[in-house]
Amino acid sequence: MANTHNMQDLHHQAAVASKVYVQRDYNSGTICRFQTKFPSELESRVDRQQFEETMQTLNNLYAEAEKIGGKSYLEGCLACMTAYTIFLCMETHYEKVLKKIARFIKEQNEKIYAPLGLLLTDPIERGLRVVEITIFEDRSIGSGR
Amino acid sequence: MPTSGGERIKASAFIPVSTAAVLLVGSTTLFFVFTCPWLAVTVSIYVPPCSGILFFFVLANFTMATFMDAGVLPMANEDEDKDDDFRAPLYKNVDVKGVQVRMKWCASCHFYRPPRCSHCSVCDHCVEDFDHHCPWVNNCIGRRNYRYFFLFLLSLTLHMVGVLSGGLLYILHHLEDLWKLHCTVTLVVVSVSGLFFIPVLGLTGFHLYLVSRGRTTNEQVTGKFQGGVNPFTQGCCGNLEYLICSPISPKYTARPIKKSTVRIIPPFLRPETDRQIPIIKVEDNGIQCHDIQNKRPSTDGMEEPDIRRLNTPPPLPPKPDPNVLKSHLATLEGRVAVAPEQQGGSSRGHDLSSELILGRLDQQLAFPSGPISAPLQLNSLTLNSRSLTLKHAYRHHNKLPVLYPEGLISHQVSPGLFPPHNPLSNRNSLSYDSLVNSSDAHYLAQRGGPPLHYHPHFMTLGHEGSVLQRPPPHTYSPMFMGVTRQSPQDLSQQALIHREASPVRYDNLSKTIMASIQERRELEERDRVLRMQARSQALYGCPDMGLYDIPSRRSLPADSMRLPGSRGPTPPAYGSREFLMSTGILGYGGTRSPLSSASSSSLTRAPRTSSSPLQSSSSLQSKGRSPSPAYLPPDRQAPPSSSSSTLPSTLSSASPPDIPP
Repeated sequence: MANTHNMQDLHHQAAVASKVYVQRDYNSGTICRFQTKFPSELESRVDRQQFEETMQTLNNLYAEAEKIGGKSYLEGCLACMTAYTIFLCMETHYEKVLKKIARFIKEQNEKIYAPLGLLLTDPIERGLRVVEITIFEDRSIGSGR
Repeated sequence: MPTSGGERIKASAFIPVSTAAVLLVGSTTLFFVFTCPWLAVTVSIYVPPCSGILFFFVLANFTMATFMDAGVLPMANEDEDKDDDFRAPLYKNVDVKGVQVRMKWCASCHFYRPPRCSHCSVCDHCVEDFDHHCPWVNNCIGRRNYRYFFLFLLSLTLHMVGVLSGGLLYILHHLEDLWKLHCTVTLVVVSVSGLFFIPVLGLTGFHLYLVSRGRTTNEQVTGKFQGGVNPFTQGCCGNLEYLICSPISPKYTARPIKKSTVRIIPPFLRPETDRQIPIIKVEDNGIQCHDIQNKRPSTDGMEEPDIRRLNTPPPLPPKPDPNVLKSHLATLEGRVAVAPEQQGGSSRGHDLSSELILGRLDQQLAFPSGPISAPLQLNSLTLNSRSLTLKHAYRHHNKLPVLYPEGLISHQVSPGLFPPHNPLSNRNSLSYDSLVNSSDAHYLAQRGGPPLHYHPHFMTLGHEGSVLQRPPPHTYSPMFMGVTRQSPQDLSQQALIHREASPVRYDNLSKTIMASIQERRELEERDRVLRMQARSQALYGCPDMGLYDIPSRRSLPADSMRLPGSRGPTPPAYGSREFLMSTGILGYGGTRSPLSSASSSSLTRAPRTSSSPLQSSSSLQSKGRSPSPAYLPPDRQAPPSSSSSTLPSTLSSASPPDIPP
């Protein structure tokens, strides 16, 4: 998942050890929400608090995207009145928040998870079904996980 | 599929949508040209503009319903199902607002279908909040485009009302020169509109009903929430609000994937490890309880080897001690509620193994070390059941007894290692027995027949508690009569199961056990079925309905030969995905049965009345694939849902051969 464009880096690029999948939490229905429970595979790799915070923020962002309110209603009305041609030029509210989420994940990866040897994948790439966390092999320790 | 066949099918898929488009545009154009000028003069000048705007709206919604992605879920990556394939159960339960909902493994897309998601066999993909596949727009109707479809229906109804009334008015005023061009054309337009008005109105009414109840067409025709509570409804107003005002969800497929520029270069930081955190094996990120941190200070040393054991499947161990097996058998005979009436030679291995496990567990549950060891064993069983592929279990079933005791023995040495998954661990013994029973019911249900009629009954049992008041209807197909014979005691135990936390855990826990017990049950059932079949021959006429995608039903005649169990190939593991892939998948893509479009329900669409299968099968044969498959089964709905079934009945009888303008 982490692409390097530099030949030198290839030597240093970590190998993928395994992947953890955080599933959706359907307790509140079909709204987009991921489970915040800390997976055991990450026990030794990341701080539980940090991880849960990341997941909670992610959930909040998705809740914002799916919020039914005045804004979404206006968007629907406008779309209807223009025979939906508005979608050709304008981005929907959900898409805007998705971009925000993508930025958030990138930032989290760069600042927190990459130094720990982890990589979060944007759930939209998996159809909003799972959050894929790639665990990289820590060669310096030598004994794998 | 051969290319010519594929092309043929592809071309024929465009016929209904083209016809619909041509009729719609053609009729309306004729109306505007020949009738509207007179209406503008006679009735009001605003008639043509209003009509025009309405028609514009109809076209826009029609276009969106046709071309918009319904919410197609992309296939899962290989990595995602690497662990799960062939080893995990066919169904996973999740709790949605207190109601148990079943997620089925999609063999084509390689993931567990989210609630309300279904696989469309026509388009061969899973669709989120799947409503139905509409041939008139040649598209799936799902989460993203349901509102456009609904608005299309509403606006079309209004438009047709306008055209009909305008046309009739014109004709009534021009009766004297009926054969003039204008009048003739208007007459034709009125006839066409009138012909399609009733089915369209019926369909609109049906969808209004669905929206008010918060159901999808798929759920309505499969009777998913017939007797139970629908967890997805937000009330009539809430549903309408959601329909109209909710933000449009994003497209999942064909997204521009941004390459990650994050570099991962070791060495990595590690979090502080001063806390004694016991390792919890999270099989599938089910609801786990984490209040174990203060319980396991002494077992840290044991953690590492067990983590490794958990994470890698254990190797096949040597044969068990026969004395151990015997003692377990003896222990189990009294505990296991499933009566092993029919034990074929080949199934004996399974029975033995499941009994072994149960015996082992029972023994350990009775240990003075108490609830701590019990979950351990349950957990180790999880490990074993996960590591032992069902493929192995059922193809090399004689190895099964070999594996389990060893695995269990090896875990026994580290009691209390794993924290209890279940905070109510003192109920493990009871829950384990009920687990056995409930798993039977689960897998029985999976085989088809009444499940989705049956499931809501016991799915919601835990919450309504009215366990004993829900005997399944007697109009179930005879094959699955066996399901109805569960004692109230069993049902109440199942209710307990469903009240407890993390039902997903139980599925993973004992899927192999369940599968072996399932086999025993199947043998018993087959026996019963044979008896029933003899009786039902008179009722049904042709036992092979053809409309069923239930593999077991199709294979029933063959199964009867394998009843003794000792001969013939290994019975398929009904509970496994492997079975689904080998036989069930035929129901998805291979046979192209119309019913298979709502594939998750295909396993459950058993008729409730004796007359309906014949009627439906004949209707299917005559209509082929062209009608919207979702509308066919409604006429098979049981009488109890009289109000809901009358509308669909009208639809199913009227809509398929008719083409809306």
